[in-house]
Amino acid sequence: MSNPLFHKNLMILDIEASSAEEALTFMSKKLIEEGIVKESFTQAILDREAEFSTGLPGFGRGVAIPHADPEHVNVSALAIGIMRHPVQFRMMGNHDELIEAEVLFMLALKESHSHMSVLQSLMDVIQNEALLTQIKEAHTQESLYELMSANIA
Amino acid sequence: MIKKRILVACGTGVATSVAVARKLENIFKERGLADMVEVSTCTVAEMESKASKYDLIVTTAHNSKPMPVKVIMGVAFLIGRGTEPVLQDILDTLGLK
Repeated sequence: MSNPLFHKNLMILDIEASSAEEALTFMSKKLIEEGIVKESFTQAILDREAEFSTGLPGFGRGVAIPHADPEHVNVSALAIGIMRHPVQFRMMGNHDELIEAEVLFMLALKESHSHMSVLQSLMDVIQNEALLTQIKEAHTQESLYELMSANIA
Repeated sequence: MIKKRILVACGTGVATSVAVARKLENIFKERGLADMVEVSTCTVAEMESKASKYDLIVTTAHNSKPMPVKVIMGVAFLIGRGTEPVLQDILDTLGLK
């Protein structure tokens, strides 16, 4: 059975954005369209990113794991965004360090503990250079969905 | 003996702090320290008021506020690289081996 956090419509390929804010806004709108999050989510995720940045040096590729408070979320989900060109995120825990993020894992979590295994798996994914490359190079929503489902139980 | 208490904080208190806390618990288990350390999580907003009840704070968030206990950056545990010196710092701070 596939993971209930994944939705084909939230496998978002080829995002054209010139900044982290643009990319985050674009992805948030998709989550709102799908009814996953409330309208307030977009501003919340932008504010959260400004205060607590989420860029991470994935193995061989920069990534970011933007997220917001559970109160803005209707249903837990994980959206994946593949950037056409990298956008700059500030590194988590160190605002002076910039990360050229190529893949965004946007977490919409209603509560934490029931989804811990997914988060742990996600941390394994960003440490896996070959898998990150496969994710980055996925050509269809279907193939990205299959790839994520195969690697995150 | 009294357990050492670690508080792990992140922006939302539901994502990276929990991931780092689980990772630390696993490491303590592997090293036979599971009974000696207790790991809790919270948001950065809660961190200041809770800090004094803990021996150490580990965080994934940028922090510039002074805290009553030592604050150690825990992002290394998320990315799985550079964890050794951070772990050593944690163990040294808690007086554990």
